[in-house]
Parts: sequence; C-alpha cells; structure tokens
Amino acid sequence: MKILLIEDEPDLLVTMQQYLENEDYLVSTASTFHMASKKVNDYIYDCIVVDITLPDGNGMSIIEQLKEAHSQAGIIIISAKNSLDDKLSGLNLGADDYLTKPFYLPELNARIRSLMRRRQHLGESQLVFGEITMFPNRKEVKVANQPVDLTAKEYALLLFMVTNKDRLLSKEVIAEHVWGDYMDNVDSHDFLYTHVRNLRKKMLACGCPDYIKSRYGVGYVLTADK
Amino acid sequence: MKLVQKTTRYIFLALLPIALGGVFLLDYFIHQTISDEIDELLHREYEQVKLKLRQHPPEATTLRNWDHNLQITIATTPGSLSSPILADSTFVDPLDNELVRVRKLLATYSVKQHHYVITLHQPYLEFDEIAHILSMGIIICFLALVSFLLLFEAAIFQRIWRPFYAIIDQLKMYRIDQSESVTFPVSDVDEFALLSQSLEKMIRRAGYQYRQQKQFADNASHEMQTPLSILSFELDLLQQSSQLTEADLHRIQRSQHTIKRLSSMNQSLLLLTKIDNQQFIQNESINISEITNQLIENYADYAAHKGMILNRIIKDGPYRPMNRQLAFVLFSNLIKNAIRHGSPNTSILIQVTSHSFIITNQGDPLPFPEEEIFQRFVRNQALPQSTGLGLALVKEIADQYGMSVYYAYASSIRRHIVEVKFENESEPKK
Repeated sequence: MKILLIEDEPDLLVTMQQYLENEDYLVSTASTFHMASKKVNDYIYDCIVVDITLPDGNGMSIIEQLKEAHSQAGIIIISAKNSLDDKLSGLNLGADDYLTKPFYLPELNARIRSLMRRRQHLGESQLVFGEITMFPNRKEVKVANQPVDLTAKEYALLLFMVTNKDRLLSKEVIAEHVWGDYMDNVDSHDFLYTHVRNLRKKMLACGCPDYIKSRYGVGYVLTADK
Repeated sequence: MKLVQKTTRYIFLALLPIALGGVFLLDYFIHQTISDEIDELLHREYEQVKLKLRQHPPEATTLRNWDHNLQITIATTPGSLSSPILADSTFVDPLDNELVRVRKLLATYSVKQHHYVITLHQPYLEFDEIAHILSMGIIICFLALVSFLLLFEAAIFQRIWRPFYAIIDQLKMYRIDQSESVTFPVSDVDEFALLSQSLEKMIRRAGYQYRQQKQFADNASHEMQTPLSILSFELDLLQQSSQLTEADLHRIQRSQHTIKRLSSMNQSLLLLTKIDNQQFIQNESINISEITNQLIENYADYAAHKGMILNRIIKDGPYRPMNRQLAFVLFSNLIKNAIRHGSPNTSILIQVTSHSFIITNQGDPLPFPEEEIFQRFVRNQALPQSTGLGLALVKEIADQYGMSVYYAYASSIRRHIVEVKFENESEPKK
C-alpha cells in the first residue's frame, strides 16, 4: 500500500515514516507544498496524509488538486488547528478524515487502515489474527468460525487492537480511540479495565486463546506470543 | 424619534408663540390705526362744519339735516365743552335698519351769539371689513410660510443626511472577519466626511488587530502542537522497546500524561483567546436538547464507570444561535465537570428547559471561594489532570452569547448546582 506523507516538520516526518514503514506501508514523503504537488501529479498513491499548514502553501490546495485529477486516493488531514470550520471545509473538499495534533501513531494507523478498508469495495474484506476473524463491513467477529457477541465499544476495542497488533498500546491511546475526545483530561482511565476484562471474558468463553496481555498497568498488547 | 421630526417639532414649538403673539399684536395695531384714521376723519369733518357755520351761520329754521352722519342743533347757552369729545357708540343704519358700531364726535360751537351742538358719526363698517381681510390675508401667508419651511426642511434633511444613512448601512453590513476593506460614501459635508474618515481608520485598525490576533492564535497552535506531537511520537516508539522495566514504562506514561495536559491546556487557552477575539462568527441555530442528549450518550460509559446515574429532564428545543463548536465545548465541559467532580455512586441531574440548562451533582464543597469558580486556573489541586480552564471557558462562551452562568452549593444535600440562563435578563442581546 503506497502512502504519501506531507509534513513540513522533519522530526515528525521521519518518525511517522519509520512507524508506518514498520506497519508494512510503502511510504513516500514531501516536506514542502511544491514537492507534494509534484509527487501527487507524478505518482499514484493509495493514501495521502497531509498537514494543511505548509511553509509555501496550504495543504487544502493539494486536496483540490487531487480532486481535480479525479484521484482515488484516500486523504487524511493532519492539522494543529482544532477548528471545526477547518475540519468541515477539509471534509467538504473531499478529505476522508481529519486528525488534530498531537495524535497518537496507533490512531493514525487505525485511521489509515479503516479508510483503506472503506475504499476496498470489492467483496468481503476480513482481518485475521490467530483464531480471531473480523468482518469490518458487517461489524462481526468470529472465533474458530463461531460468532462472538460483542458490544459496539468492545468491538471497537478489539478492532483497534487487531489493527495495532504486537504493539504496546497505552490506556490513553485506546480510550481516546474508542471513546473519542470526550475522554480527554479524564483523570482515571481505569474504567478501560472493565471493558477489556469483559472483552477478554467473552473471547475466552468462545475458546479463543488469551491474546490480550496487560503490561504493568500501563497498557495492553495484543500478541500471539506467550 | 428621527432627528428631522425632533428638529421640526422644536421649530414648530418656537414658531407657535410668535405666531399667536403676532396675531394679537397685528390685530391691535390694525384697530389702533383704523381708530386713529376715523378720529382724524371726524376732526376734519368737524373743521369743515365749523368753517361752513362761520361762513353761513344758519338760523334754527334753516338747519339742514340731510346728512344723517351730521347733526347740528341750536343750543340756547354756549357749550360747556372746550374741545370735542370722541366716543364709541351705536347707531341705527336707516338703510338696512341695522345697529352698527359708530365713532361719535360731540362738540359745541358758537358763532356770533349762535350756539350749536354738533354731532358727527362715522360707522366702523368698512374699516372692520378691511381689518378682517387684512388679518385673514396675513394669517394665510404666515401658515403658508410655516408649512413651506417645514416641507423645505424635511427635503433638505433627507438630502443632507443621505450620506449619514449610507454610512450606517455600511456599518450594519460590516463584519470584522471580512477580507475586503470598507469604503464609506464621500460627502461634501465636513462632519460626514470626518465621520467616514474616522470610521475607515478605526475599521482598518480593528481589522489589522483582528488578523494579527487570529494569526497569533493559529501560529501558537501550530508551533506548540507540532513539537508536542514529536515528543508524543518518540515516547510511543520508545515504549515499544522490549528492554524497558516497569518503572521506565510508568515514566513514559507520566510523560505522555503531561504532554496531553500541556496540549489540552494550550488548546483551551487558544480557544479562550479566539473567543475573546470573537473569531467564532459562524452561527447556526443550535438545538440545545439535541446536543445535551448526544453528550449524555457520549459520557454514559464514563459515568457508568464511576457508578453514577445520569438523570435527565429535557424539554424539546430550545434553539439558540451559536457556533456549533462552542456549544459543544460549553455543555460538554459542564457535563464532564459534573462527572469528574461528582462523588462515585451518586446521581447527576441534567435539566433543559426553554430558558435554562441546569446541572447538579453531589460532592464535597469547593476547596476554593465560590466566587472564583469561573476564573482561569482556579482548580481543585487534588485532581492533577484538571487544567482549571473548563469553567472559565463555560463562562466566556456564555458571555459571548448573552447567556449568564450561576453557581450554587446546597450544603444540606451536598449538591453543586450550575445553571446557564439562555437570556441574560439585565441586558438582552439580539
């Protein structure tokens, strides 16, 4: 999967690139509007992650350029401005998603994966992890071909963990993904424990191995390793 | 009342006593003049009669009496009157047999042993008519002059004040976030030209300041959030290392917490700056009950985790013109606050009526003076994640939309009550 990262801050660009390459994406980068405009014109990408504040132009113009060329690429805006107006105008231009800085890398990964899944209109797409098979189109989960009955939040939790498998996900990252911005500033994320415990219980009851490992109370890892 | 009506009224009020006084004065003068004229006429006639009597002193038998305005009678003794007497009297007009007002001259005269009593009459008739016609003419002229003046004034006013109304129209249309500059109509009236100039200057300055502030807020946001993102990313990657001890992981987690807190504080401060700078101009009709219900759903898990029950008494509507983002911040901060500071296993009551939003939660009294609750950075030190900006934002947003926020603590039932009144009673805004 080819991704173009457009971001003017070199440190941020390198970190995101490394991270996404670890997630098996093919990552190209552009640090100026000029370079981005050229790359968008010359190559075809599956997904474009664009910071709208660029030193020599506005990232919104890149989106316009893509839409004029009838590009099929998914577009995710990353912006330092937590402004509803910007978000709406970006989405109106044809962007698919909007992330406000600072965000978490697993969140970016989840957004890209989700966008790519929505873009693949062909048939049944499914995610497999060990004994678990997820059908995001139908919001269903099967363990060894047996459907598991999960609540919407438990499903979102599992999908996020499967998307970011083998990574330590801190409780804040998970909570913000599943419960959104409404949980910001919340002093205690202990309530996540209850949800994870319920999810684990349901999975174990279906004969699924215990993939969800707690790591020192900091967060959780979904891993097949013992 | 319009300026033109006001000045017209004053002019009219000033003209009225002059007009009334003028009528009486005029009447008096006309009558005075006419009386003088009549008296003079009578005196002349009297002189003529005397002349004739001197030339042909008539005998009593030959006293001709064909002029009914003149009567001469013979007296036996010389008259006691040294000079003629003038008096108003009435007289029966022999022609139409009507009583008419006359001026009468009574005198005695002696010519060579003959003594006469002379009575002369002069009816007022024609003179009254002349006075009447004169008065009417003058009154009509005066009224015509006044109405012409008023009409002329109204017309002039319309013309002169046209640039003023044009300026007002321009000002009504003006929005501080518009990019094009405002040009006010040019006027040859110095005062209006000065007004236009001053307004143009003021608007240019305000626009400049607004853009500077907006740019500062945007830059501050970008320049702060980007390094915070880098920090957060690096820590996230570091966290994945398998060589970390539990203590290391906790250190990383604490750092992430601090980054998150710094970021949200930065965002809240910028939001306050933007509200102060009135950058949220796009308003739409916000259904407050809909937003409240949506927020309650969003916070349900959090409340459930603390064993809290969210009770709601929500009336449909009301609709208020607000910026959607600010409406969300306003009500979500209040709800989040109630859950965060509420005691576990208690209930929160959220009420939306047509004129207010009330939220109450059970909890310990405030650790700071009650009147400081809406001030910035006033917070409960026991909660390290709190930025102390949540309720300051609530107050700021409420002020922006002419709403008022009240706080009270009912110590008997240990409940905090926060009320947002949609209409500010003291100064209702549009």
